[in-house]
Amino acid sequence: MAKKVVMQGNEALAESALRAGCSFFAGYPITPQTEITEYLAGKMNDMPGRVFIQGESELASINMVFGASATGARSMTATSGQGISLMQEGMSLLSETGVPAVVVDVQRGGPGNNDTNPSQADYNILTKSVGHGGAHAFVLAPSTVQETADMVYEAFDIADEQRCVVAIMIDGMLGHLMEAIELMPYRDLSELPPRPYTEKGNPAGNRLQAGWDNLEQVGKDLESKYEMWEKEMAKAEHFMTEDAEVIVAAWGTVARTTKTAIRKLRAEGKKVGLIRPKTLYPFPQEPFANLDEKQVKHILSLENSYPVQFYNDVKASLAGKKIALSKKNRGMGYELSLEEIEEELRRLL
Amino acid sequence: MEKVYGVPEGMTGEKTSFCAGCTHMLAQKLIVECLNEMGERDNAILSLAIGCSMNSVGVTDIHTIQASHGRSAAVATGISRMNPDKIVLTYQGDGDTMSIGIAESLHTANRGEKVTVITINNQIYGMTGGQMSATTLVGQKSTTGVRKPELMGYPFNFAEMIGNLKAPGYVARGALYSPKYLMQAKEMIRKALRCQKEKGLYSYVELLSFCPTNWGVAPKDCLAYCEENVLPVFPVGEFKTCF
Repeated sequence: MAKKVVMQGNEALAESALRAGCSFFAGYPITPQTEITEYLAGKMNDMPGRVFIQGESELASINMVFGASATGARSMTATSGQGISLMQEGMSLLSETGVPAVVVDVQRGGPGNNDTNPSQADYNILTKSVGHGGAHAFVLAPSTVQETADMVYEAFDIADEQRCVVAIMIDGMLGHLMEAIELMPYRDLSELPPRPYTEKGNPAGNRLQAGWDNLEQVGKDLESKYEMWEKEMAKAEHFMTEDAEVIVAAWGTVARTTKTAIRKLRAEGKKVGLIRPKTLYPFPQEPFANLDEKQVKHILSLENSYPVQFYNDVKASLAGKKIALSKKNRGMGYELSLEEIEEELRRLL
Repeated sequence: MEKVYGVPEGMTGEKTSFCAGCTHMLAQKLIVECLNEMGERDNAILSLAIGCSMNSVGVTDIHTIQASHGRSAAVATGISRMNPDKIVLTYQGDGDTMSIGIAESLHTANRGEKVTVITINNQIYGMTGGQMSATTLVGQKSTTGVRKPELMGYPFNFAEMIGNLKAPGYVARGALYSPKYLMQAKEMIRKALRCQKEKGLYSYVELLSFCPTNWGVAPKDCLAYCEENVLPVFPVGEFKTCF
């Protein structure tokens, strides 16, 4: 077993990315992700074959990632809220051309200039369509520092295999939380899977321009890929759901707080559980669609966002089922507390 | 008989949608000739811009990555940093370099990235049909108005601007107007590529181009029009050189 180290979420994410073979990072400072950029700035340029650049903007950073990734480097950027908005054009291009990249979003609360406190406000922008055109990122949502480190390690493989953008969504709470974790070993850069579309642009010739010969086929291929993801790659954690009569739907740090509330209520014999999507796109619909209407009386959807966003996917997954659904949410930098979650569950039980 | 002029190796013969009288293809040919002479065509990667520039996709046998509008210098930065042994170029228009991509253009120059930025300056948005660009001349008509300094300021002298930065190794403006200008422009491209290869420095070449369609000037009158109107605003020459 690897030695445990105590690390902050943002730094664990950055270190794990290096271990996964991330050899190019471009990013722009924004709270609460800045520690990722700072950590990599302090390491990468001293490591052979790796490059760190502080871009002049998020717009420039995502396009630097495009250039580096298209010519062979496992590449990543990290940002938050406003930066995710600015990266939409680049993420759309990465998706269309099938150039892999890992994009980290340490979310801030709400639209506009918003608040830097923990939030889940970027749910729709990252799960519904990255930029114009309706392309999808593969979206991962960890809820502990260990899972953050594990998911970023896995993200580079998913990005390479699926030739897509993999987004990892955390928030300032997870980013700044210190936990004891185990890190995966450093991958040998020379043993990473080959990326044949890099050297001469793309496999068909010397041009990396999606759809040079048949743009419609590019669209059809994207659609098939997303259908496959939805069918085969969605993941969720079931926590104490076996006999649960009330089930919480929550992700990320809200799910983490919810577990504490559930443990407390279970100690009193209350039949309550949690379904926690680990992939936000593809959204795990089956865990909700397969619920037993005779057993489960109520689903409570929790999230840190005004207006609700995640709730709509939970609602769609329950379509046609005779199970009551309600929501509780806070946002704009205000978070659901353990007490609020516990109180709401007591009300429903 | 000795062949003294022809289509250089590396031009694919692919059809383009450039208008009659456009000088984009002359720039393409000069770039290919310079890369051929240096033996670097197979070792070059081009970050291609959006705009009329992208009509050139496929006309040359250069490894090409199509960037988003305004972002080719950032894309080139990523390519160059991870592939320091490659020759990395961008091919952009004045709208791409000086309007939507001005931040990327300036910071790529200021960081001294090991890339060669080629900008075609024809003082108009060509692909979208003749709107005002950053380099549209004072008094020049466009479909979005006549440039009046009190409303839109003056044509943007980007080459002069980055010629004053410390990091760039070579900054020049040439023209694609006639054989005399073409010979000078080719020497500039050659120097820009040598600057990248031999000195590892950033280089910039702006190439003044004709746009008869959107200027409303007949191709045969373009040279006279440019010598009278364009060259006084955008003088050709070197603004910085490491040689």
